[in-house]
Parts: sequence; C-alpha cells; structure tokens
Amino acid sequence: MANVYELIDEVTLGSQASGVTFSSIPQTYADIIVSIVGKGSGNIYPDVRFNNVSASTYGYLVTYSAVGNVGSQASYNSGAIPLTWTGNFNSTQTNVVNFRINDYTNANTGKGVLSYNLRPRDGYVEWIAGGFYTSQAINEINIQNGPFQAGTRFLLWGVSK
Amino acid sequence: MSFTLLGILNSQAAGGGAAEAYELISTQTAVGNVSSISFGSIPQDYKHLQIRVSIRSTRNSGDDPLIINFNGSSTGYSYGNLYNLSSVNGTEQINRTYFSIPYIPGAQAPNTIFTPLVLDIADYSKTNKFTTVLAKLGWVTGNNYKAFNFEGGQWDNTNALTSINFDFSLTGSNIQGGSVISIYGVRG
Repeated sequence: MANVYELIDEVTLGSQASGVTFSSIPQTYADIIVSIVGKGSGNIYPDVRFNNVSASTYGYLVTYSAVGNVGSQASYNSGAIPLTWTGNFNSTQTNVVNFRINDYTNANTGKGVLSYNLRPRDGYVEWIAGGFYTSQAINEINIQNGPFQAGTRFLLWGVSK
Repeated sequence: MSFTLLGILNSQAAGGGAAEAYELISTQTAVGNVSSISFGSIPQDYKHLQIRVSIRSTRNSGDDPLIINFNGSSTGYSYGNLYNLSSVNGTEQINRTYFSIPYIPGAQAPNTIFTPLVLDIADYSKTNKFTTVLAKLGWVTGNNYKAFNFEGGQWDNTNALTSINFDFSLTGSNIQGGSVISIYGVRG
C-alpha cells in the first residue's frame, strides 16, 4: 500500500533566498509536515505564515534549552510563528526544523502547530507550539525572514487520511 | 455516548513491507460530544504504533488531562513530563491507575482550538518488556492561554498492547465533537 507519508514538494536552494512558499497545497491529506535542513546567510530568525496572512492572528509558546539553559518565550498576538528562538540559523552550523499542522483543511477550527528546531552542534533544542486563530483551510505556507544559504532543503509532506 | 471500535481489520497491511512505512490502522472522529474513544483488537504485526490526535475537552473550566488506559488495565502507570505554561517545569507520577496527558484545551480556549497531540508507542506487541509512551502536544490561543507538554510514560505490564481507551474521566468531561484520533502502524 502507499506510504502514509507522501512527499508533496521539495525545494533545494540553488542560491541564497529570503524564503520559500509552498502554494496550492492539496487539500486531500489529514496533516502536513514541513522539514527544513540547512543554514542561514548570517544570523537569521525565520518564521512562518499561512495563506500569506500577515495580521496578528498567530501565537506561539517556545520551550528551549540553549547550551543547557532552559527558558520560555510566548506571544499570543504575533504576525507569524517563529521557527527558531535562541537557536537561530547561522552561516556555520546546520539547523533542523520540523513542524506539523494537524487537520489543516478544517475550515471550522483554528490551527495548531507543533514544531521543533535543533542546532545540535551547538547544543540548542527548541519546541515551539503555535496557533493560527483564523478558521480557514491552509493552502499556502510562507517561510520567510531569511536569507537561507544555497543548499538548504525544504520538504513538504502530506500525511494520508 | 461512547465510541468503541472493536475487531479492527488489518486489511491495509497486506501489501506492506516497505521499511519504516506508516500504515493507517484506524481513525475515529467524534460526531457530537462523546465520553470516550476506544480502539480494540489492535493488529500485532507492526513494529511500533503512532497515534495522532486533534482534540479538545468539553470541560467548562480550565484545561483537562486526557486519560489513557491500555487493555482495560488500571494499574502500573508511571509518567513524567516537561511542560511550559509560561515557564518551564516538570513533574512525575508513579504507579497510577492511568496514563495522564495534561493540558488538553477546554473552556479556557476558544472553541475552535483543538490541540495537536502525537503519541509514539514502541515495541507494543512484545511480551518481554514494559510498554513505553512518548507524547507531545502544544497549543496557543488569541486570549493568551497556552500549553506545551513533552511526556514519557511507562505501563508496568508485559502483555502485548491490544486495546486503548481515551477519555476525560478524571473530570467527567467529554471529548468534544470534531476531535479526531488516528492509529498508525509502523513497519520496519
């Protein structure tokens, strides 16, 4: 049978880019997952929006361990959900980001995002819970606030129903 | 009303065999508020289980702990968690009558907020080791309620895991309609 995890789209940057947008996302899956592996062109703090909505309809709760020091940061009226906090992308070490959106096609509920970010070489581990309060199906994911280095990979997965 | 699904057919497993393939065993969506959701006769031919959840409680105050029991057992559950409501903390519970996952959104969160929750149960069919669970959830609302929970649990029982029950019995609340629980089998 088909694997439950299906690769919908994949972008590997051929040159530095400020961000990546996955658009026209199929509405046929249960959940979607985005994986990012790569580096920044300098110190960057990328974040994510949905359907290109820029209004303050996002929130986040960051739980982090930064070189052994644990901490927390939160906002409930943000214009985007951060993908990193203390463990930002930089030009030397590799970050691994993975975030999932359950029930992303539901037009009757807000959306919950559960994300982690690792910069393991330096000892950064972060969990980020996010909220998108707008009750609309997600058909576009906007990853922004680079620039990301060439070679950084962005994978969009669908989880079959 | 309670949702119970017994005798799950493993019809989708017939063509499996790809390394680390996830296969849907069963999914249940609460149509209206329900007191519990159960899965029975879980196939024993996968390596691990992953349970993916989108859920909220009907509790009219605060959040709510999701109560989980395996094989109808009410003994031998221990768990510890790292959680963040606005600062990072941890707790542990030893030898309880259930496995509890706290901070499921209830009335404090707008009624469109359902938390994502993922549980991984490793080696669930083995009879030479206790059953372990790794769970994670997180949610944030526009009225500044929020929670993150990362939790590990153990059921001190070597029986193969064949059934799972989910409810909010600690507070007597219901699983809100629209909540979804899906069980996947992991090959490999």
